Amino acid sequence: MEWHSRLCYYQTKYPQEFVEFKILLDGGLLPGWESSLPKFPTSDPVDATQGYSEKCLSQLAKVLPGLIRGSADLATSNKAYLHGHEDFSQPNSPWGCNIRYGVREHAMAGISNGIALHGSGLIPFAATFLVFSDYMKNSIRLSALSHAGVIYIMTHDSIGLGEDGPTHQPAVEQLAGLRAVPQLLVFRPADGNETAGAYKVAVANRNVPSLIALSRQKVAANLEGTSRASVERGGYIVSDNSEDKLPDIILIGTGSELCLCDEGAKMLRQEGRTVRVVSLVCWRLFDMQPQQYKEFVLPPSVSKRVSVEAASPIGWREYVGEEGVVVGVEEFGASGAYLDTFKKFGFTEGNITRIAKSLLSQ
Amino acid sequence: MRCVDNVRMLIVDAVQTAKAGHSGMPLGMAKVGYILYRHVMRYNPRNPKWFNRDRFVLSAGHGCLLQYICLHLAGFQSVQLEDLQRLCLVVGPQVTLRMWLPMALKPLGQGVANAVGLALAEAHSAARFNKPDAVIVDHRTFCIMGDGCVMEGISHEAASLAAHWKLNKLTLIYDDNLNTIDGATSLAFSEDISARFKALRWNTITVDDTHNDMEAIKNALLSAFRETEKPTFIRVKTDR
Repeated sequence: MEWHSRLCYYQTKYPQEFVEFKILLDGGLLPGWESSLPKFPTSDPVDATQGYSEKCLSQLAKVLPGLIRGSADLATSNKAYLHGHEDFSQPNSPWGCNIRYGVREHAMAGISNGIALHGSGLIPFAATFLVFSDYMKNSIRLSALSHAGVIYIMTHDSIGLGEDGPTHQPAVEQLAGLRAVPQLLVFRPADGNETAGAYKVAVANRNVPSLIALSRQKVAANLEGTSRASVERGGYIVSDNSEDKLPDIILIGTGSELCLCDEGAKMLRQEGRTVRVVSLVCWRLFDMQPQQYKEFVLPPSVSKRVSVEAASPIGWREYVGEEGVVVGVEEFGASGAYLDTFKKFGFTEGNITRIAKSLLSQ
Repeated sequence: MRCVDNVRMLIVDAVQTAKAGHSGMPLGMAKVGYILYRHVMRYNPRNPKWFNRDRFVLSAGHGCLLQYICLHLAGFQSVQLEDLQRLCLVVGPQVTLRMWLPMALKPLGQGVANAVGLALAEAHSAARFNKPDAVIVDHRTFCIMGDGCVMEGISHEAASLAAHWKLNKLTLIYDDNLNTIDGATSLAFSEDISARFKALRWNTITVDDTHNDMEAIKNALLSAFRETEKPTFIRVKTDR
């Protein structure tokens, strides 16, 4: 066919470009691309998970020829702009891989679905605030239904976003609703390692959309024990001082609240308790694990559990059980500096430790 | 004209046999579907996934029977006559047809946004890879939408972007049949659609007489090929 002979000519005359074209047609992933994701030693200064995301993206842009990202007028706020790359614009720079969607979240997601399914190996990222996922929920749902591997970057993911107040806070119910969308992988990474792990799974899965919820505020600490590789299993043990026995209590957290579990665990351990900290970074992936693994992470006989997530408590009962305590948010949040807001809603090490001690004493 | 009648008879037959399905939109747009698949679009039924094929999106997903019939008549192996009866019961992605049309066909308005994404992907890939002496990315995107799609906000957002991005190889065909589920469109809708698209900076064309003038539809579709700056909006009046 005429097009094929043109392609053969192209291959001969422009071999380098042809190689890249072929990579894209085959899905856009070069072997070994994952090794470009940065590592985050605990000695690094702390950052918001959206900051770790920015670092991951800029590394991924170097090895993924199909990476094309866009934001709904929040490129700087989302930290999802590819610096050193141009905007998509005709006629000036149609090769540009930064798409400016304007304040049009729904179109951003619908268009991203088209990009993902075109067949050109492009991997679209679509960024906005988590609360605005509501504007495009239908298209996110269709990403899942149509097997479109769009990667949704949702920043400002909790009451921790601070002064913008209740209108911009994710009113806590978005994560619960998004986790209910079949096939969609919802990640809420706690630090740099987990963020890199989330991107690793999201980019590798081209037939399934992913949504990565990221904090605006700096997380409290770089955590010992977090694992990039373990994100693939959706949930894992971050730390545990019970050695070969079962722990007295399990603290389960996600995202910016995993630090609170970590701090709470430290305080309890100083008092002689055995505490396990679990990160449940992606519920769907954890649910898909073999029963044996799930019971290894959350042993059924350990009934004293506390979950900590600055979002709706809906869904957590399944992981904490009847006796456990769910620490969540059931109001629309408030405006204020994020530490003050966290304190107001009970998200402090002191409060988590108090809740855990109370449970232990029962 | 006989071909179009064949398309229409297949539509009626399928819906009658299945005792379900939407026949209105497919019947109204039978001419457009025929002209697109027979005369305008480039594709290969033996290689549904050919990279440089033209892309087609049916945003008015309830008209999916039209698309399946066109695929069948065009020679796509995955749609045989016996499939048509079953397919008109389902409005959604079909596993067997995933190679040609991977997108879910509902809800309304989504297809328009998908089409803009397809057109953007083409323009972006063409700019990255085409050389003056070897053009390997060069295809068009067609989308049929109805009144429901036009009312859904997402189609407006997507259309606004399409023109801002000068996606001139995108053609949107509006099935103007003055009909929605609850009755006449005038119950809740009295816009001058062509003026809206013109204001969004699209190239706008109206085809008034679809019943007697096949050439008008064909010419409208082909005139989009000459447009270099704007996407094209073709309003096809099918209610009369």
